[in-house]
Amino acid sequence: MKIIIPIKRVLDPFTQARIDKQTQSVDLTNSKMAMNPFCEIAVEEALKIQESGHATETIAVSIGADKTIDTLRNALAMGVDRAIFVRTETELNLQPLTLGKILSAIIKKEGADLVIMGKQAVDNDNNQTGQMLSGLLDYSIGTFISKFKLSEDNNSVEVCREIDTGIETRNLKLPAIVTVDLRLNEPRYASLPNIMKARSKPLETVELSSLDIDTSPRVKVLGVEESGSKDRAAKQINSANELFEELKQLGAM
Amino acid sequence: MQKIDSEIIYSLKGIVGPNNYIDDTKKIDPYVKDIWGQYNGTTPLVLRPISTDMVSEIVTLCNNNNIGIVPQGGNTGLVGGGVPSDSGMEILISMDKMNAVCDIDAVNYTMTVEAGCILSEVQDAAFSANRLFPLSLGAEGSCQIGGNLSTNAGGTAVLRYGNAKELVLGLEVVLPNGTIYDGLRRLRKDNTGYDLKQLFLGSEGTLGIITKAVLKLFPLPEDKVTSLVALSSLEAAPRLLSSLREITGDNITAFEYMDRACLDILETHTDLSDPFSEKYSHFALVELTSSRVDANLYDLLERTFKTTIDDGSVVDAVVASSESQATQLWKMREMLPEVYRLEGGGLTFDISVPVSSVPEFINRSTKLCNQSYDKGVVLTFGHIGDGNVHFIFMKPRDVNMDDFLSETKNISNIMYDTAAEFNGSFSAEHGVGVYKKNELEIYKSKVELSLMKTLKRSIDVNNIMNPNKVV
Ligand SMILES: Cc1cc2nc3c(=O)[nH]c(=O)nc-3n(C[C@H](O)[C@H](O)[C@H](O)COP(=O)(O)OP(=O)(O)OC[C@H]3O[C@@H](n4cnc5c(N)ncnc54)[C@H](O)[C@@H]3O)c2cc1C
Repeated sequence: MKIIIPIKRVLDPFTQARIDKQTQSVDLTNSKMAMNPFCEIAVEEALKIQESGHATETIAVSIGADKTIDTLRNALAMGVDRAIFVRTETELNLQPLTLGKILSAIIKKEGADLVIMGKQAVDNDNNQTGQMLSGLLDYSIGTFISKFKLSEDNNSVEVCREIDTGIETRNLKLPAIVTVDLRLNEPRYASLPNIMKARSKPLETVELSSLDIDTSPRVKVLGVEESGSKDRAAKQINSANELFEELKQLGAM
Repeated sequence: MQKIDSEIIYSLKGIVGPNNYIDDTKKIDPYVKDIWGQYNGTTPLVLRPISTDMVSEIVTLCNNNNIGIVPQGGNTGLVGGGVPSDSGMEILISMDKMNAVCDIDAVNYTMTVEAGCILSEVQDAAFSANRLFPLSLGAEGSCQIGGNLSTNAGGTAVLRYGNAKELVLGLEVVLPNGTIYDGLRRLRKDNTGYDLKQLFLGSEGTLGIITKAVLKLFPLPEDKVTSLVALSSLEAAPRLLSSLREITGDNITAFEYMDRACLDILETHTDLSDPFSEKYSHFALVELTSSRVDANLYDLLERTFKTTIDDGSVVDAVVASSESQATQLWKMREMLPEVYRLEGGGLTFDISVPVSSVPEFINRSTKLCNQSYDKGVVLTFGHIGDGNVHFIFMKPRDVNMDDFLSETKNISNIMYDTAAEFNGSFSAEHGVGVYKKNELEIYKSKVELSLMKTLKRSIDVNNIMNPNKVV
C-alpha cells in the first residue's frame, strides 16, 4: 500500500507575520518558512505505519515555487521514501479547491489508497483541502483524527476524531483520506542517516502547467489587517473578585 | 546584632516614598535568600527606587552614615553576590521598579534601557523593532540587565556575540559617594581616555549601582538550524567545533556540551527524552544562525556532518525540523542546572580553560576527583565553545549531604588546582560574590589583587558598596 502525504510550506508559526499594505497580503519575502506543523504530524504517522509493515511506500507531495523543495527535503530527511514537487512559476496563493484538484491528479496517477494530511495549514487556517479532495476522489474521509489503527488486511481503518462533543470513533473503508490533529503523535527529528540519504532519494518535479488545471481563485480577499494583539494583551488575574472587577470596568457585566 | 539607626531608616523610606520600600520581615525574606537557598542574610529594609536621582539620594545618605548597600537585580546570581550579609547593617536596593525601555534606535543598532529591565523583556523589545539583543541564558525570564552587566554574564550565544561586557556601549552609574556618572553614549568609537564603563561591567555591584545602559543590537537571525549531535568521544567535541567553524564561517552561534549522565538525569526528572535510539556518551547542541534567509545553513550543517563522520568525530545526530523541536532540544540544555539539584545536587564548578584543553581538563579532573572520593558521579555540561565547563561532582543518592560535604573537602582544591594547571579560570561566568572570595585570594596574582583593592578603595572610600563581596 502506498501512502501519500501532501505537505505545505508556511510562514514559520514562531515568527511574526508582516503585512504588505500594497499587495494586501502577508509579506513572505525574507521570512522564515517551515513545514506546516500539522503536516509534520501527518509525515510522522505515515512513517509509523510504514515501520509497522502496513505500507510499502511513503510519498510526500508539495505544491509551490522553487523553495518548496526545502520542505520536501525536510520530509525526506524525516524518512519518507520519495517526493513529488508540483512546481508553480511564482508563489501563488492557491485555494483549497484548486489544491484538491492538483492533489487528486497526483494521487490518481500514483494509485495511492491512503492519504494522510494536516487538518489545516496554520497560515490560512482554511481546513478544507482534505474534505474537498475526498469529494473529488470519492475516498472516505476522517477529519481531526487523534488515533489511527489500520485493520490487519489493510482494507479499513479505525480512527478517533476530535469533535466538539468529545471523541468520535469511526471505521473508514480504504481508499481513504485522514486529516490529522495535534494529539495524534509527536513528530520525530530528522536523523543523521536519513539526512544523508535524503539527497539521493527520488524527487520528481511536475510542472503545474502540465496538469491543465484551472487555478483561478473563486474566493476574493478583500483586505488583510494586523490582528492588533497588543490592544488585547493578556492580563494575569489573581482572584475571582479581581476578574469581576475587571469585567465591570470593561462594561462587560 | 547591630542595628541601623531608626532615624536613618526613616529618612531612607522618605526618599523612596510609601509605595517603594519593604520593611516587613516576611516580605523581605525572598530578597535575602539566593536562588537555590544556599545563602541567607538579613536586612531591615528593601528599597525599590524608581529613578536614578532616587538611587543617588539613597547612596548619598548611606555613604554619609556608613550604611552598607547591596544592589540586587533578579536575584538569580549563583555566588551569593546579590544578597546581604547577616550583620543587619546593610540595606538592599532592588532595581525591579526601574524597568523602562527608554529608547530603541534601529538605525544606530542600539537601545537604552533601565537596569531593572528583565532580560527577556529587553530581547522582546529589540525583537519588536526588528533587531536582536543576543544575550541569552537559562535565567532570562527573571534576571535583569543590570545584574547581567554587573556579573558580565555569558550564556549561550557568547561564541558569536561575546559576553555581556561586549554588548554595552554606554552606562549610567550611581557611584558610592552618590554622584551620577553619565556615560550613556551611543558611540561605537570613543577613544577619549580610560574606558570607565569597563570598571562596572563584571564588578558585581562593588563599585557602584548601574542604573541605565546603552546596549548593542544586531540584525535578527532569519535562518537557523538546531541539532543535537552524538559524538564518538569527548575529544571529538573540539574537532567538531573546528570543522563547523571552517565550513560555516561565522554562522555558529552556540556549541554546548552534555554528557551521558546529563541525559540520564533529564530522563529521570523531566518529560524530555533521549532522541537517539542508541545510548551515546557525548553530545553537542549546535546552533547555526544567519541574518540572511538564503544562507543554506542546513546544507552547511550537512557538509560538516560529512567531514566529521569521515574523521570519526560524529556518530549520529538529530536536526530540529521546526521551532518547537528546536525549543525541545534547547530545553534539555537549559533544564540541567535545575535538574541536577533535583537529583540531589553536589559540588558545582564553573571553570574555563582554552577550548583545545577542554577534553584533557575534564578527563584529568574526573580522574582526580574519583581518586579522592570514589562514590561521586561526575556530570559535565557547558558552553564549551567558549571553553566553559560546568563540572558537577554529584552526591550519591544514598549519602546525606553533610557526610558528603565533609568527605569531599579536597575536591575544590583538586578542581581549582587542575584549572590553574591549564591556565584556566576558577569562575568562568558566575563571578566571585562571597562564595569564591577565598579562591580569588589564592589564584589571582599579588599584582592583580592589589590593583583590584586599590580600585575598590579609591572609588568606594567608605566601603559601603556591596561590602565584603569580591575583594
Ligand atoms: C538557571 C540559571 C542559569 C544561569 N545561566 C547562566 C549562564 O548561562 N551564564 C551566566 O553568565 N550566568 C548564568 N547564571 C547566573 C547569572 O549570573 C545570573 O543569572 C544573572 O546574570 C544575574 O542577574 P540578576 O539580575 O539575577 O542579578 P542578581 O543575582 O540580583 O545580582 C548579581 C550581582 O550583580 C549585582 N547587581 C545586580 N544588579 C545590579 C545593578 N543594577 N547595579 C550594580 N550591581 C548590580 C548584585 O549585587 C550581585 O552582586 C544563571 C543563573 C541561573 C539561576
